[in-house]
Amino acid sequence: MQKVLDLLEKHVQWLVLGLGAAFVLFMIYSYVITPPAHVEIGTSGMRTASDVDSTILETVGNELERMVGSPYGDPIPVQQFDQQFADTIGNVGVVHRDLANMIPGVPEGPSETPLPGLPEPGPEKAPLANVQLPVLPLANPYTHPASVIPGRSMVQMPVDPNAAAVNGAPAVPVFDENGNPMMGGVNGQPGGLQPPSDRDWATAFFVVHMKDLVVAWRNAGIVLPKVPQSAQETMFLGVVTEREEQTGIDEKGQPTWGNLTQVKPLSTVQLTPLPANNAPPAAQFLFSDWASKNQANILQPPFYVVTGGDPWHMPGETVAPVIDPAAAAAQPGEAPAMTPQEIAAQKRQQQQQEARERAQQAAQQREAEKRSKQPGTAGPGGPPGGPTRRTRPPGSGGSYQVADPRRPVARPTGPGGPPGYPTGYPPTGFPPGYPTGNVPGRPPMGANPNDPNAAKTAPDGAFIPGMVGVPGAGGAPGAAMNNIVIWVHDDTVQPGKTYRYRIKYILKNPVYNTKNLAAPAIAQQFAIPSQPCAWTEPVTIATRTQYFIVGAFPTRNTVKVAVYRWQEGRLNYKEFTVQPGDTIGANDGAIDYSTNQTVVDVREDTSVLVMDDKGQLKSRSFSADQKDPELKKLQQQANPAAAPAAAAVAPGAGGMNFPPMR
Amino acid sequence: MWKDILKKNAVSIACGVVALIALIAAFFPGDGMVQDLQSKLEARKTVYTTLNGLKTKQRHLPNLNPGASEAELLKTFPSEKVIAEGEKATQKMKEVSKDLYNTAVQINQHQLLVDNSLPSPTDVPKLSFKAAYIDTFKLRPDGNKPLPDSNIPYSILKGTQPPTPEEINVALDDLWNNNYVARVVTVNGAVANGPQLTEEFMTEGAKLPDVMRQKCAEDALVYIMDDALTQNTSVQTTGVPNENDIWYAQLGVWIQQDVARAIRSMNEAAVAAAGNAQPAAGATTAPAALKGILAAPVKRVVTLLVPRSQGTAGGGSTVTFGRPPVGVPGGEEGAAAGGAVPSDPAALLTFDFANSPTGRISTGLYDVYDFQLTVDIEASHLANFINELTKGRYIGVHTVDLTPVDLNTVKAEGFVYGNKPVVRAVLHCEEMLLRKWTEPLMPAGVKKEMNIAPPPAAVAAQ
Repeated sequence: MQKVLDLLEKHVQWLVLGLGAAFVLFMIYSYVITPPAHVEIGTSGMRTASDVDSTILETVGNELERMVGSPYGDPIPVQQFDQQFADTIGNVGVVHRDLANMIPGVPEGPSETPLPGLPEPGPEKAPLANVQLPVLPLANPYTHPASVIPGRSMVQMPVDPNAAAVNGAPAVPVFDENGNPMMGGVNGQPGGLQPPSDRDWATAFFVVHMKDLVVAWRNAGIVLPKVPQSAQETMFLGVVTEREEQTGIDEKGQPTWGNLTQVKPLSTVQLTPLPANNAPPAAQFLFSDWASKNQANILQPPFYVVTGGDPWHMPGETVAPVIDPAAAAAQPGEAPAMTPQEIAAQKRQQQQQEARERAQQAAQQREAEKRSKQPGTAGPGGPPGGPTRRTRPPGSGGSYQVADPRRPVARPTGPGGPPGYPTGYPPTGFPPGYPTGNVPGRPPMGANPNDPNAAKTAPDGAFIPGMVGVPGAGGAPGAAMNNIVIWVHDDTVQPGKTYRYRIKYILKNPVYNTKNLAAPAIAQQFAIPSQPCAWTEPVTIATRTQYFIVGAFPTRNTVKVAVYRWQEGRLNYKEFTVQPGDTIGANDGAIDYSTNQTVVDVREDTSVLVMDDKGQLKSRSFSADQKDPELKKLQQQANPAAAPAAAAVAPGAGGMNFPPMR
Repeated sequence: MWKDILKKNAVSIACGVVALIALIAAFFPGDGMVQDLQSKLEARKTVYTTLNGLKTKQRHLPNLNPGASEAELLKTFPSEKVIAEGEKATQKMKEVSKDLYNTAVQINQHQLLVDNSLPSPTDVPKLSFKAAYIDTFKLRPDGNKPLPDSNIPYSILKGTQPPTPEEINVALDDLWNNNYVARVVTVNGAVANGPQLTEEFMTEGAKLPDVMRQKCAEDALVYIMDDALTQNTSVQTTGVPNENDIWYAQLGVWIQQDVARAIRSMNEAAVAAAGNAQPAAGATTAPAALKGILAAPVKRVVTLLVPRSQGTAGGGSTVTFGRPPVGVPGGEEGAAAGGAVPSDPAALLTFDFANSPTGRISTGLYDVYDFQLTVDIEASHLANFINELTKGRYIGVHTVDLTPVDLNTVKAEGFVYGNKPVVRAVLHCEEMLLRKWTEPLMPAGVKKEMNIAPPPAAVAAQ
């Protein structure tokens, strides 16, 4: 202890000096090296109380003072929104957009600029190239011995709508006694008005077999499940009819044909022209819509209203001839002459009656419209949704006549009839006494239900070949398929000539306007035509005038000739007694019995030498004519009731019998 | 011994004691002063931060472009001069907005059929309105009395109807009486040339209906039948109509007049263009100009249905017209149920897309009224018609249904459309009417039905 104390005593001054030096070092560190109070100002580093204000002034103060004093510059612009608003609400600059891309079912064209927020269109998927256009099977001639039916009738034709557009006078609606529109007009509309006229005509029948169409669809790859059922629908867009005329006989005895002609449809239908494949989609869409409502008019067009002569009918149907309207109406003494005062009085009465009838018609029409809007109330054979058609009464045979109370009964020019004239005018503008027409030429659909070859109903709009005839279209494809009968009328035939017919039909491309089912070139083709089918059997159009030797009197050098003339919707008959040098037949009133044949000689064997207008001689024989079945047929037509009796009469003096008199 | 040590080292010990005291003093009393100085320095730093923030802060100009989602950046410091400039622009924007609102109201404003017929008419204007309202829907003038410009079928649309069977009969009468009666020849009291005259008359008469129909189509711009427009039967049949029915009838007239003027404008332009048709390339003469309906795109106004504009017989109806506004039963949630609210044009617009694709419903700024227009129109002109319909009118078309028209079918009904493809278009539309001008015309009963309270200023004045 003493030793430690001594050491402390000896060196205490150094200890104190050490403590003092340490304290000095501490002070230097605390107040010189690290100031006890400081802050960081921006990027200028640590600042103490002595220089903090000057630093702030230098870094931001001076700059801020300069900015506060600076002006803004240009005034802040404010737009005139009222004018912009007026322009916007006024559609200024709005560009017209065509409708083509706005119809449902028509695809939108490529958008020039995608809408904001919508993804960019992705790459097109590769088309299913193995779906092709079906090669359509041929339409075969109807498998009935008479696949072409000829006839000659007095018909009432509608006013040609095209001609009407020129002169501003289209068809005038015609109504029956119940106020229902009568057939005979265009596309099943109320009938138009033209004077009845004689027409030679022929109707050719064809069949499209649905099973062949199904095969065609299958071969083209248009089958489930590759192609959805909705893309298997098609429809008939048109039928093209071609006709050839027999021009002679070749050295082998075979007929030669020529004068290929395309037959136009009757004026009973107004068919819309088929748009071209490159037509705008809107035109094709509208045409499709029209075609879907006019399948019956395309495939099974109605015939004229037949007022006399041969009624129109299907092959195999038996129909009675139409009653001669003139003969039926011609009742002698029924049309007394009237004074103008009587005409006026009767017209007033008729107007009152017409006003009552119109009110009744309006009520009936409203009721009919209500009925027509209900499913299944359309008339037979009519297009879907079309007006209710008047149907043939049961058991009435080929035709019937409707009495229109608004029409006077007398026909002004009726041969043999009274010289009656109208007592005023009919409100429909229908000539007085005109036959009111029969049922339309088209027979009730399915008139021959036992014919396995065809069901006569036209498909209703678009159809799937494998589903035609399948109730509810829900059956298995290929089951219970009906075939489609197509018929075409030709009223441009000439008596005495022989014709044959063929058609090709046009279907709507089932994969038209689809995407990703077929190659774009195929999907853009609207219509598919078939190849022309085989020609029908030839049909010869009967001549209108025929004559037969019904009596020969060599001793008196005269001959009695029966001339049959088909005119004004009926077969007219008249006998002429002629001698060498006389022409056979002549005009008798309105009936033209002239034959352009001149009697040259009457011989002992009752043969007669005649010469035509070209100087060619021909021998006719009384005995040969009597055996001619054509004569008997004409006798039957001219007077069905008397013909058997006449046939039973034995030859009398001179050995002749005579055709029955009318 | 200790005393010796202290004596010998008294100075050193004193120095040590002083050093110890200095050391202790540096850590205890001096530390408070340092902290005080540090806080002052921190305050200065805050000043610096604030000044630097003022200097570097991003500022925007007032947003004067409603179409822009973001306001433009202010590129300078918001000095007093700059702030004054901004306030000036803002004030100008307010004025422009006011002009815009006034322009919008001016475009939208419609005239009453009869002055003073709304909102609180006396019996005289009520009866005048009734007469004017009946005249508004007449298809054609009565005799020589002209129809007012407000008449829709005739004056605005220049519409027509196919000749009726009665008119055709009259024409046939005239034809017979003027051209044929004098030519009847009688012999011994009996007519001698009856069949011949009849034949001639029938030939000429058969053409007459279609000549009349053609002329009818060429002389007018559109077909419109008597049941095409919506008419308020209460106004037409009641002795003195009440103001609520007058209001609803007037609303129907405004909307139908707007549609009719659009149709007239479009058809007139098309007919004028058809009259100026130029020869086709290679042709020397221009094609015969189509006239009237044959050239007009809108062929027929089939129906124009304005719901609820029929009103109710006897007045006192509780119907609302158009889409219910906020707070009205059936409307959007908002004001208390049954509580009327004043119209506030500045209130935030509300939308309800369950009502229509546009989502518009009646608000304090406007009321929305639905209507349905069915027209037969040339297919290629439909889009143009929609443009025309909305041009200068607060009409929106939100749904269109199309059906092709069979020209043969309509022709059989007496309508001559020409030969261009025609569609029947059903357009579902809405029209907005601004309350700025409609509200002063609304009768009290209608306001009550629409839950519109008087403006606060009016309430205060009471």
